[in-house]
Amino acid sequence: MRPVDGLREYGNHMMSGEQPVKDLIKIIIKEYGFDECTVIGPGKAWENLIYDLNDIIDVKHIYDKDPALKYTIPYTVADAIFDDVEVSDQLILSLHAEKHYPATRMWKGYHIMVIDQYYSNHDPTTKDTLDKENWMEIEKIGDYLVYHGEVK
Amino acid sequence: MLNFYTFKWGSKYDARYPNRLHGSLTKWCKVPFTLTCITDDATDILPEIQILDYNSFDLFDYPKDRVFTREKLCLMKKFNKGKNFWLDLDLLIHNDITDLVTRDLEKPTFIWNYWNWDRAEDPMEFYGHGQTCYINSSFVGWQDNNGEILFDELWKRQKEAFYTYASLDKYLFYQHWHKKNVLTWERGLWYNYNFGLDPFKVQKDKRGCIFNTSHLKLYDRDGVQRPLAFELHETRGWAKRIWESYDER
Repeated sequence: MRPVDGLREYGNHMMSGEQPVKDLIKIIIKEYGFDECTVIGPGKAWENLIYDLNDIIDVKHIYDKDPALKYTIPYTVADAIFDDVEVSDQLILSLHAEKHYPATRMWKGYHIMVIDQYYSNHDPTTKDTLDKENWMEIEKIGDYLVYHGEVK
Repeated sequence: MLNFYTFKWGSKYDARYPNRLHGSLTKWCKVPFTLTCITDDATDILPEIQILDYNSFDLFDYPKDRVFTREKLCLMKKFNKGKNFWLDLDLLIHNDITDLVTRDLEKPTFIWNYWNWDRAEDPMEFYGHGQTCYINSSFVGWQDNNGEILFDELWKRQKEAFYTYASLDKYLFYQHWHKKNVLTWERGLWYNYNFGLDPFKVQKDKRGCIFNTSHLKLYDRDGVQRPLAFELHETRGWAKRIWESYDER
C-alpha cells in the first residue's frame, strides 16, 4: 500500500503477546465466574477474541466507534466513553484502552483494561496514567499491559 | 451580511496574515462581509478588521494543547445567527468563493482531507490509530445555531474529550463525523500546499489552499530539524506572489 504520513510505522504488530492476553482474559473470566460482560473498543485487532468470548460468557454489548468493522456478529457503533450506553455491572473489558478515557473512572464493577504499548506515542492512556490507580493488578505480556480489578 | 472570523494568538503569525486574509476576501467574496480577528495582539492589524480579545474568548479551562483550537467551537456558540465562517490565518484563497459562502448550510461544513484520503489504498485501515483524521477545520461554515451541537457535546463531555484528544480536528472526526453532525465541502475546492499527490504546485481550478504545518514530522533540512513543509510566509514562488498581492495598504 502507499504510505500515508504518520502511518508508516503501522504494520504487523500482533505477533507477541496477543494469544497470552486472550488466555489471561479467559482465565480471569472463569476464575471470577462472570456471567456477562461489556466489551469496549475491540477494533479489528481483537475480533477473534470477541468470537472466543462468546463461547464462555454472555457478551451483552460490544461498542466500537469504527463504523467499518466486518464482524460476523452484531456490534454497536458507539464510543462507550462519549455516547450514552449501557454497560454490564459485572465485567467491563476495555481493549485498546490506551486510546480511551479510562473506563474505570466511569463505571463500577470489575474491569479488565488492555493497554497496547507498541504504538503509544500519541495515546492518552499510558502505563503512567494507570499506575496512579494502583488498586489494580498489572500483568505485562509482550507489548501489552493488562490491568484488572474491581471498582466499588 | 456574512461574518468571517479568524484567530491569531502567540507569535507564530504576524499582522500580515489577518490583513492579507482580509485582502483576499475583498477580492474573492462578492457580497458584503465582516472579518473579525480574535487576537491577543492587535498591533498593525487593519482598522477594517474587527477585533475581539482572545484572552477572554475561550470558554474552556484546559491546557491549550488539548483539543487544540477548541476556541473555534466557542465561535459557533457565541455567533449563532446568519451565515458565519471561520478561516485559518494561513488559508490562501485564490478563486471566487462567493457561491460557497452564500449557499445554505444544512450543518457545519468542514474541509475533507482529500489529499491524504486519495493517497491511501484503504483510507480507513488505520481508523483510530496514529494521525488518521480526514476532517480539517481551515475553512468552516455554519448557519444560525446549527453548530451549537458541536460546542454543547464538547461541553458535556469536556473532561473525557480534553483527556483523549490533542486536536479539535481529531475530536470532530472521531466524535461527530460518523454521527453526521458535520458535513464537508465537496471534492475539488481545497488542496494542501505541502501534501497531496502533487505538493507545492498551484492548482488553479481550486478555490484555495491550506498550509496545515502544525503537526508534521521533522526532517533534517540544511542541518536544522525542520518540517519538510512551508508556512505561507516561507514560500518563494506563486504562493508568495499571490499572498503579497492581497496587501491593501
